Amino acid sequence: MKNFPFILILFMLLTSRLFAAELSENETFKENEIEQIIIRIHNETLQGKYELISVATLKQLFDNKENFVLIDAQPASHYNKGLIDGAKNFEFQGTFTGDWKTDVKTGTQPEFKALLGDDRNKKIILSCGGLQCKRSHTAASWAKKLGYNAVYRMASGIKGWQDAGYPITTNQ
Amino acid sequence: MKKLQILGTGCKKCLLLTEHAETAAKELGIDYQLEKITDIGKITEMGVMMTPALAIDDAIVLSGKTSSSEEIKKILSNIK
Repeated sequence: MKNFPFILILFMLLTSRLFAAELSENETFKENEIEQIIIRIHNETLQGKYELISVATLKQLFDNKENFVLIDAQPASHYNKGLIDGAKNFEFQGTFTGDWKTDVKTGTQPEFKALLGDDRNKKIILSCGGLQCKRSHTAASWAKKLGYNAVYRMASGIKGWQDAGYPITTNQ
Repeated sequence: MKKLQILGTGCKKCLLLTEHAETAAKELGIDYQLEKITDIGKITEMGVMMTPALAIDDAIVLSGKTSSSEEIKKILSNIK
């Protein structure tokens, strides 16, 4: 099971537009670049001790009307321009240090916990801008550190959601 | 009877759009039936990338914004 994150990321990448032949010019990733992303996310997942979730599975959670919390870890200026309907915003930095004041510019731990809720077993899903964005890693690592048991990172973030053709909304 | 469809998964802006669309239809005296489409798959199938959206008889007329009832009245008048 230790390799599960690796296999999931590989699956996500192989089935994503990143790997498709009809890549747009500014979105092309070479195989060695894809490999770098796979290895980074694999290592981050092991470090943060959370799970990964795909766009398709998140869509299923919506379809099944499951009770879960979705947090977007991007800065509010990005979040407000495009969000998955229902996602709440709490900004984290892209590098996890384990020190709250370093990892979070604005916002307190009680505020973050209030967003996550009291049920430690509820599914918590963290996302940000895309596979290159590491803020969801910091957010997921903190959710685990604060004692939440079912923490998932949707690594492809809002970009993956849009690439799957699913709708977004704005706060503007 | 016109079918007014509000597409969105429950955002506050969807409620506002519903309100504006209903106001517009009532003020124009249009006989309408309101349908709320919250299923992501259905929203995607209808070609909407940005919610909330408004469709009239399955045709998308607004997407990604909560236009005022006056703006929706203009759209409805053109369709009538």
